[in-house]
Amino acid sequence: MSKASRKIWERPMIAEAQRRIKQELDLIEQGQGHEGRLEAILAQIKKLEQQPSNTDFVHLYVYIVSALVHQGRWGGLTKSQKNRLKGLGFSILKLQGINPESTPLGFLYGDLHLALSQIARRDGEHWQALWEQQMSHRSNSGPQGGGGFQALSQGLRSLRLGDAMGAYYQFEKAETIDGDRQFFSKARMGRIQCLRLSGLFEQAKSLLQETSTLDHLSEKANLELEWEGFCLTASQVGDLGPMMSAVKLRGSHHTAVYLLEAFFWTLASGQESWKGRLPKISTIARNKSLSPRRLPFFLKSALLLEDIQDTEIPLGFRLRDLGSILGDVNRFVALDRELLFLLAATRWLAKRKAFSMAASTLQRYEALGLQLSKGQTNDVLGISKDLEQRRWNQTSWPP
Amino acid sequence: MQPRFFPIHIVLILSWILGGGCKTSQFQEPQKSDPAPAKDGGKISDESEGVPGYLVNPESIKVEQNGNQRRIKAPRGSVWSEEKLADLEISVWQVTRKNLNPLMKPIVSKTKASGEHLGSYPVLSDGSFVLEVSWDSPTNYLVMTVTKKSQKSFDFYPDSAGKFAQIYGTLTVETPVFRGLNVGFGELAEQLLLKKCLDLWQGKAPFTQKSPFKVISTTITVGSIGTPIKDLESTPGPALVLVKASVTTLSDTQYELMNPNGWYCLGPNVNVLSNLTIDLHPDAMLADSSLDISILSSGDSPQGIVVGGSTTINRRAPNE
Repeated sequence: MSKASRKIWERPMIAEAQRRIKQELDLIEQGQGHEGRLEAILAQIKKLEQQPSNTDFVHLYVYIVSALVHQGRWGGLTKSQKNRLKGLGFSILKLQGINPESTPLGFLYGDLHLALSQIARRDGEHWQALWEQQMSHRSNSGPQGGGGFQALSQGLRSLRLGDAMGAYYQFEKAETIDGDRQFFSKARMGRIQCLRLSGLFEQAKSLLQETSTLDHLSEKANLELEWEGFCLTASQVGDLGPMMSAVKLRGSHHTAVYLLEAFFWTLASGQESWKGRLPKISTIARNKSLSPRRLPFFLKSALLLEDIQDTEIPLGFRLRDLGSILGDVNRFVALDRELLFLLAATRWLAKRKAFSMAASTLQRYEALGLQLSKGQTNDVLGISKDLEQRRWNQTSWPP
Repeated sequence: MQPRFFPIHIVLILSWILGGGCKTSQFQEPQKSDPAPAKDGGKISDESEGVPGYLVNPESIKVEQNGNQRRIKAPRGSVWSEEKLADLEISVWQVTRKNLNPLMKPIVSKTKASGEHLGSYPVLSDGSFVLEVSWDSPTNYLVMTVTKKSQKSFDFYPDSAGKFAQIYGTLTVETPVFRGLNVGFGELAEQLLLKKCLDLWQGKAPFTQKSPFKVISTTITVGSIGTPIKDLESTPGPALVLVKASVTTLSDTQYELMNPNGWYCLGPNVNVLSNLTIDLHPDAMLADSSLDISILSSGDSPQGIVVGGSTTINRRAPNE
């Protein structure tokens, strides 16, 4: 590509291309949903690849990033499509002569890295997610979005890796920088979760109460805030009642994500009397109105926890299936789901007298808790105290 | 402070926001926490944060008001120039409505307007700037310009292409002399343009300012043949469409606006040195926000009507 053609890339032009394409895709999404959005993106990429001109390269780049960002939020690309688009995106920037660290357009690399970070987070590759996110900040002008946005993205990744303290301060920063409220709900929810998952229940409760008085939260954020309150009650006093009322039919939280979490809580806390009051997971999986399909791994793991209760299936098969999910627990987007799953697995394993396996999963749960709480507690959910008394868990260290 | 002339090569009109008594929040990004509806089955903490400019809106210029003090904060990348950003500065001017009017029209030749200079502020190396002005006049308007530090007055000639910076993200008055001036409007400006068009349609348009709308835009390089604007989509119901060409062109331009259910709102800067011909579907509606003209039916625009001196509107069906 000639020098003259490279000069055509200027920030205003890119911003305009982003704006135009975002508007176009938002309109398509209104009518055809996420799938329609992705189809439109891929169709445009195909078209622009076939007849590239200098200006089209800008559009092609923006569509490529749009596809990768879409993947990070909703998925839909195959692995090979993802890799191809990633390669194409970086190639276009290279062709344009854009250096990530010494040109004002270096932020374009930042956009690509950030999109890849979100894909990694979705795929359960949390270290990669953090790394790509950090890479996205290394370009000369940084990614768009400002300090608050950057802090939010780092906080999300740090919490998932178990660094609740680091994440807490990033979320706090995201809330306060520039007084920007665009990401406030996410950041505030992150802070509350950091406190709750560190076992700092009173502080979490206090922040939650303060947040519930704010009037600018969306309905969706308020729902999640209430849910945090139910989780705190479950952790503090072991009462799953409010949570179970909320997820019942016509309850405020009768959607797949909350039903599945409630199911995890019943198994993890050992309060299986609640279990029969929830719809079967296989029923939830078939109910499209509950939106279960957006939770592929969460749903798969819940189905597994339900299936392993079936005594007609040989125990060896059930153990094998449980092991396959345990090997993938990093694929839970939320860390508390991993904690709940580990505890639920521990209880099930102990009940089947698979004590050494139970000890392993419990050890993992406790290790995560110690990491999250900076050594303050090994039971950050507050629901595993009874397990400490079990004989199979009675070991002393040092020997 | 003595009134003095100031250059108009690039102008940001903050007037509508600051002068019109609008709230600060109208100038900022919408305070949406989440794009998805409340009960879509997900948790906000599960969702990725998106990438600004893609799934979430990019940063915008923000105005904070504290009494008479206005603090205007532009994020990085707001000013773009081939020259050293350190050589540039933002100047803020107060102008009357009368003096503002010429700025709202496309500029074709040397142009000057008078205004009171309220202050100048540096542009930082990342293209951001922050300025604070004390200003409380309900009748006057604030205008920002990007100027070279060494250049306190500026004669405006078409051959000085590409020499100066651009601010984008708000409404700008652009000129054909700045190559690459291809971002003319921010979301706020679009809302203002749409409001103006809706006013011109005098309540007959089946939309409100919150209605979804489509934007058709293109980049037209100075002196080039230009990229024609075409809207050949036929929607089943009324569709609000904002048409904007960010850079004026020296050549003739033609638009084909063929949606029979289209309500086309033309932004400013659409036409300057060139002749603009708009082929408009017989059933479509049109308003020109810069020329205060609305066309609601075929009867309003007989064939070949000349609007504003250099714009011609032809009513015709597709493929005619």
